[in-house]
Amino acid sequence: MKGAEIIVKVLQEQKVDTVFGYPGGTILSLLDALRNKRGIKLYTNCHEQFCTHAAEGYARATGKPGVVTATSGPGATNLVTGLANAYMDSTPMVAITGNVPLHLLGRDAFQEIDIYGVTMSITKHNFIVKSVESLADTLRSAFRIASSGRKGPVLVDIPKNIFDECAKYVPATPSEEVFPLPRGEELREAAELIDRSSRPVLCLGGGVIASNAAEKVYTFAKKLGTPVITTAMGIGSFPQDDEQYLGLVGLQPNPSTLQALRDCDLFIGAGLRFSERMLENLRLHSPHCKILHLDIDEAEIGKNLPAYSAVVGDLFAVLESLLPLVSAKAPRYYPDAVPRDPLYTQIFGAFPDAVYTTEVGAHQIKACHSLPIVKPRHFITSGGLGTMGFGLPAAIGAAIATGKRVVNLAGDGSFAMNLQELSTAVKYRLPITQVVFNNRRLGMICDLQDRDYEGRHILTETPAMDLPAMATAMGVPFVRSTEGEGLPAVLTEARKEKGVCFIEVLTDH
Amino acid sequence: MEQIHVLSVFVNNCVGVLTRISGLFARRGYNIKSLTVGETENPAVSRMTIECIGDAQIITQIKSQLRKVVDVISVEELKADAVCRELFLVKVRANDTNRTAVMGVAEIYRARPLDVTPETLVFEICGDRSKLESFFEMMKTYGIVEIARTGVTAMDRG
Repeated sequence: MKGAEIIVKVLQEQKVDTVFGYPGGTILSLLDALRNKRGIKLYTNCHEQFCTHAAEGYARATGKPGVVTATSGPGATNLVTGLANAYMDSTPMVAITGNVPLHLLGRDAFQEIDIYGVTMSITKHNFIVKSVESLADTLRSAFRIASSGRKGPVLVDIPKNIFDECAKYVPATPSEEVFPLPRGEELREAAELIDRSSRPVLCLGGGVIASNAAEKVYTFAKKLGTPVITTAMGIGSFPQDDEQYLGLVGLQPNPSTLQALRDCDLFIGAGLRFSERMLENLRLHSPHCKILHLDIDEAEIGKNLPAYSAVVGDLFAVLESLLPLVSAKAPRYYPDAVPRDPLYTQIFGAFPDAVYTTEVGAHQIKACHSLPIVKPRHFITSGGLGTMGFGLPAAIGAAIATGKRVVNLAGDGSFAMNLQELSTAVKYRLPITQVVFNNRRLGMICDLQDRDYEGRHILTETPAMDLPAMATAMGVPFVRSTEGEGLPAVLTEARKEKGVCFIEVLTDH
Repeated sequence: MEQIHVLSVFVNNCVGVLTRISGLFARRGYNIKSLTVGETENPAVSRMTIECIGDAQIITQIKSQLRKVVDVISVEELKADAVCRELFLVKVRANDTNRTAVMGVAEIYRARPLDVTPETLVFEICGDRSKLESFFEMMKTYGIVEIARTGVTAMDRG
């Protein structure tokens, strides 16, 4: 069997149903083999970077690894930002790149790039396949590594001739994903620490969602009565309409969150990596509280701050083991002071069951604080890398994965980075609502320039875009509100659309 | 307190593994004093000996980060009394007037002469850090032309 067909077989073994790819010389054999294959659908975006973001949107909406494929050279280098994004946000992904034939490797052939070397530091692991005999097992390893432990992207680079050479295909069942189990000693120490604390605060990160542990976390939070805060990556890990929910740590936390931090004697961080933004909150408002760190990745323990105590393991297993060991506490509530932006809550009200994606910038921070997300995998944002242009292709991936309406919230700056993807959404008739908050500038950058550079705004003016004309040109229904005026009527209009719809909100903020 | 720690890192003997490990140290800003690598009794496995500098927290981080590398099989920190050896090749200025003196000093350190010319001597010397550094200091007084060090390789006793 040819290498390309072996790849298809392994993708079928792994129950892959969707591949995002962009054609090019060295990957054509694979695309040809994927044509009309039962159970696998091929999608393409306008640019390889968007293929990776779409694959990430797919992965974060479903929990299954996203699959992306691209050709050698520029096709491969265009994956870099998307892989880095997935790496920072621990998203399971498998990227397959074609490369020049084996005998030309290292000779600077046309469209040759050492993508193996380039992506080494932005993938969880990567491979270059040097023989068709090792192809199947390498690809299987890629899926196992991507989906095991702390998840992440894995790249498999395949020289062109290997797609066309033959080897015997031996079927295999996918190996069980391996998740580290917590150690009893660490669990007992953690339980004692919790029992001795009187005002614990529970902070949830993306690890809760990655481990499908939201229900366990809910039971845990209810038993301990703790106030609950989340990181941006943790949005959806705890229902925001719950009275124990307080808001976000990181950028611009609300007064209740800060009060809870000041009161707290034990900060339980679950599935998060104590980013520098979060540490700033802790140092300022709770410099003396004890830290209990629950995470799947041992290297995160003590990386950014010394943890008083830690349990390493898959969060689902950690919480399941920890629950019977801790005593219940009376619930503690703080005033419901989450300051939500009404523009965003109105949009959420119109699409309460949708999956939300965002771009990066001022609108993203508002979305993080304002959307009352209640379910995991319903909020997808570029957390660690902060990639402008992530949202719309991620929305495409999430819409393909779930079949649900996906609302992408964008600023006009980010939209200028990926607007051609609107045509992809139209091409596949996806249920995507594109919202652009148009303030004709890079709002977050302007804020930084106001704060640190005496208001000198450099390169922050965005191109003047006639968005209604653009929407019409792409065949997308368009509605507009200025400063939220008439927004309910605009949203009613938008809700009538079954496919792609464009909402522009003109604003000065 | 910053100290030198010696790690034995067993890795899959495959393409790029050295780049992965050295890249990890470079990217995260960890200090390497020396790194040596060679096959073990099992040709599929290589053993790296890494001398790194850091306080306890950094060394713990280094070990955890190394364990995350897919091609790393195991990471061990060697004990303070581990057997550590390094080999130096040292080319020293030595002519008719001082050759005997240089040879005499080398004898004390059990350094072996490998090459002699009218103007130079090349010695091979193997040993632990203190012996090699002491030899190096002595040879400096005669004038060192060049030096090549292998880096430390080491294992625990017993």
